[in-house]
Amino acid sequence: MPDPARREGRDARLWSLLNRLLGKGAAPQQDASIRQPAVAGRDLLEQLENLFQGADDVKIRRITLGEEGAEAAVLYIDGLVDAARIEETLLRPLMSWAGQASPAERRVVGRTPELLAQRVLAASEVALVRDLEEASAALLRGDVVLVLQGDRQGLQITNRGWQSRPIEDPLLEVTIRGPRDGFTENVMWNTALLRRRLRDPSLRVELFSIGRRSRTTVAMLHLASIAPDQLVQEVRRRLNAIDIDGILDTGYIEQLIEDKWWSPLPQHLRTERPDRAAAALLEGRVVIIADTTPFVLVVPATFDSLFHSPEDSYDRWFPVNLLRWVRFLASVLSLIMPGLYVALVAYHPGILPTEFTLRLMASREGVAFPVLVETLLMQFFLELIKEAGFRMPSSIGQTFGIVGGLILGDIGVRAGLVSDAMVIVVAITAVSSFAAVDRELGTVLRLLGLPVLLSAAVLGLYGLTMALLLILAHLCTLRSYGVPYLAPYGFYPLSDWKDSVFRAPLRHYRHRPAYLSPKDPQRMGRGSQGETGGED
Amino acid sequence: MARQPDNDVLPVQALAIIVWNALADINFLTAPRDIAQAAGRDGWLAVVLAFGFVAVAAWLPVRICQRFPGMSLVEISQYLLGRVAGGLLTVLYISYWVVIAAFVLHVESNLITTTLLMETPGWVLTAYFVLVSTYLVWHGLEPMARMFLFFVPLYLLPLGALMLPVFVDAELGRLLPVFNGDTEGLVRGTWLTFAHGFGISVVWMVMPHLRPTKRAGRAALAGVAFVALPAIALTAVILAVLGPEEVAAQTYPTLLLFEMIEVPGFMGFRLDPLFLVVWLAMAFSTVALLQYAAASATGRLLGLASNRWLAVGFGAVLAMLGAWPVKQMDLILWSQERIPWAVTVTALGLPLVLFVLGHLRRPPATGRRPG
Repeated sequence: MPDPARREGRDARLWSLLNRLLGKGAAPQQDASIRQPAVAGRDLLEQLENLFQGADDVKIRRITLGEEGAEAAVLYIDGLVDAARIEETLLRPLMSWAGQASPAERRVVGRTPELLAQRVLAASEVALVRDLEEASAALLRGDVVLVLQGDRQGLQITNRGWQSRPIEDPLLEVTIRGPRDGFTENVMWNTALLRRRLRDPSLRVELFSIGRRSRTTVAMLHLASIAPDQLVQEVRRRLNAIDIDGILDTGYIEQLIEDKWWSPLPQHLRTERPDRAAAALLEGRVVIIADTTPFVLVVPATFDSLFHSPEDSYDRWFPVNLLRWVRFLASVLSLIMPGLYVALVAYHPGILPTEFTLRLMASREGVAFPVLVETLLMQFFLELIKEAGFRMPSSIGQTFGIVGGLILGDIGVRAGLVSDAMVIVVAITAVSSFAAVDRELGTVLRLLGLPVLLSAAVLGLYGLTMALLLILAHLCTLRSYGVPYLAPYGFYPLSDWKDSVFRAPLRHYRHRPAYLSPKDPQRMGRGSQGETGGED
Repeated sequence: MARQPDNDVLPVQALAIIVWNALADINFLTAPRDIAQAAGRDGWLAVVLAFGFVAVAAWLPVRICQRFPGMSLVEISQYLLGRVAGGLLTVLYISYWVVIAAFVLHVESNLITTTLLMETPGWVLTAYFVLVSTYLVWHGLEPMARMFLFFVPLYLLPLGALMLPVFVDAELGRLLPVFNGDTEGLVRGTWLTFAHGFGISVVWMVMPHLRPTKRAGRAALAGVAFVALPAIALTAVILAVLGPEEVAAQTYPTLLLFEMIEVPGFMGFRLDPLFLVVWLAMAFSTVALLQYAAASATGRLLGLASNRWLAVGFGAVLAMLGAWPVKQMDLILWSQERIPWAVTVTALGLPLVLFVLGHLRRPPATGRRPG
């Protein structure tokens, strides 16, 4: 029977070591108490066995490299590696070499990991692991580790092969025209999707391991010839400063590195479209991709850019302008519609056309509640239907939304809970908020409509105006990585306005947005100006 | 792209926007009455002349601040007049800005309680107003300038759209003959119009934040011109539509003008609330600028690194002064008697003295930089 005190000490050391291993790179300033002596063991194999004791998914395949060679073991985590490729690139070459090599060669090469990597293994990516920490980190990443008995070093063979969703259409950012591929949960596939679009050697992919326990691979991408160094450094600094146990989605990163956590407005662009991310890189922005999520962050974000759809750049300028205006108008409506209705009905019915006022008042006859309660009630119903629709299975969610909306609206009016006009107001608010390109922005604007509504309910048009001024003031004070949130509206060159509330013809986009301070401001040469040289 | 961006550094174009917002405030609501009372049908001529003086009032602090780069009224006055006299001058300006901001708040709450919210206590409106302005001032000058930029179309588009339909009813004969010989009336009208540019002295506190200041003079004059043109047009239209006597008799003649508009096919649809909303935004920018100027000058006088809590303090003072019960007529009479003198002294008289002294004395080797 082992001594319980000794066993307890070993367990404590094991836990400490695990913490140290899993926290590497994620916590720049770790607690010194985490750093403990290594796990007991004569060699790396024994240390790894001790470390992963009880982890049944850690597989150890022992092999003998001939009588003169050492005993070896191949370690990997089941499900994270490609078993067929282990066979092909590792086991078969090893066994074959062990059978064919001369005893002298087996004696030398079979006991030296570096020589094995150089002369025997067929894997494309092999690296030396010098200690337990590196070996276990490689295993946890999904690599294969080859260790020789009696040796404190080993080899790490990249052989990741976990199952992943194939590249599919983006779920949320649906467009009619444009590429169909979307980001997946695999970070390296995602970087490859961008590499495919931007075959520029200055595209930098910087990998981080964030999350003390999750050790999530996070990639920061930028075009070194365009993105300003200060921005890149700032993003790098914020990513390095994250100290958390796990990153399960870019949403975690977003909330930990945003400029003002208390602002309701999104301060990063989120996209699952590689074409949108590539366009952002071309403008001089930085893209952040995390493993296990298809949602990618783009910084800096501006309020204006949240209204831009990827296909705005693919379609011709004329229809795009109309659609962009519709989106802006829809956002304003989703923000002010309930408040405006309450202000007009409760305080200033006299300013509306007489006939309209009479009809409005007639529709409110028999409604049991004051207009504010009526509005809040309908807003609540709207959120209820929306939330329930999302949670329901997709096959009946849509039907539920339509039926629920119709029934609640119709019965609500008949029962005297709400007026006809109110149903229209809430319907316009809902439809307007769903017209936003950025899903979160649409929701935020609709929810910001609530304080606007309350302000209007207390002080009528005055309250509405002051609430809108407050929101505008907040927008003006916000910044995303130093870039004013309302850029390009402000003191920037007029060329920056070419892709704002108006979208100029593509041939006029000769410069990148100046508010992003790109290193290379020129985007388009004069050659690509069509027949008339862009002067028409 | 700074890690901690400086919210107190402005490009020179921002000065035009700030001057524009400092001038385009409650003036277009109340000025036509005062002008018509003094100058009658030559009121529009008084506006033309007055904006010449306003341009001088905008240009003077710019020139002085260009001579003393990085310095505001606080440092310049102390350098030229001595520590005590300069300090007293700064206190005078701070008091002026606070009183004028309180005056604007009073006009604002009076107007809203007489037109839109008859039963709402004025202090509620004032408190809400000051709360929002304090939030903006707290964040510095750059967000303020950015926000005021949005007010330019908000002001010009509805004003233009609302002036066109009433122009149909204008009798241009009411403006003729140009200059009826009443020189005294014209001079008084010019003076009263000039007195409505009471926000112009905030330029003193904005100039140190401009980078660079080379074209600041042009920017300031552009800001004045952008206000002058609609102001002249509005005065002429009001006088031509209502007539000088009617304009002089009304408390808010501009508002009356817009109450007259009827949208074809929309019987009973009133557009004056839209006009009031626009005016609210303009009053907001004036109060915020005056609040900023007061907080900034106090901060510099006391040698504080940040003006944020001073902005909150001045917000509280403004909320109290704005809620002080004052009768509307008393306020109008007070403003007609006192404000013209106060504006003349602060916007023209004292800057002229500082301008002369500033050219007699060599600037210091290094000016004090903001922040």
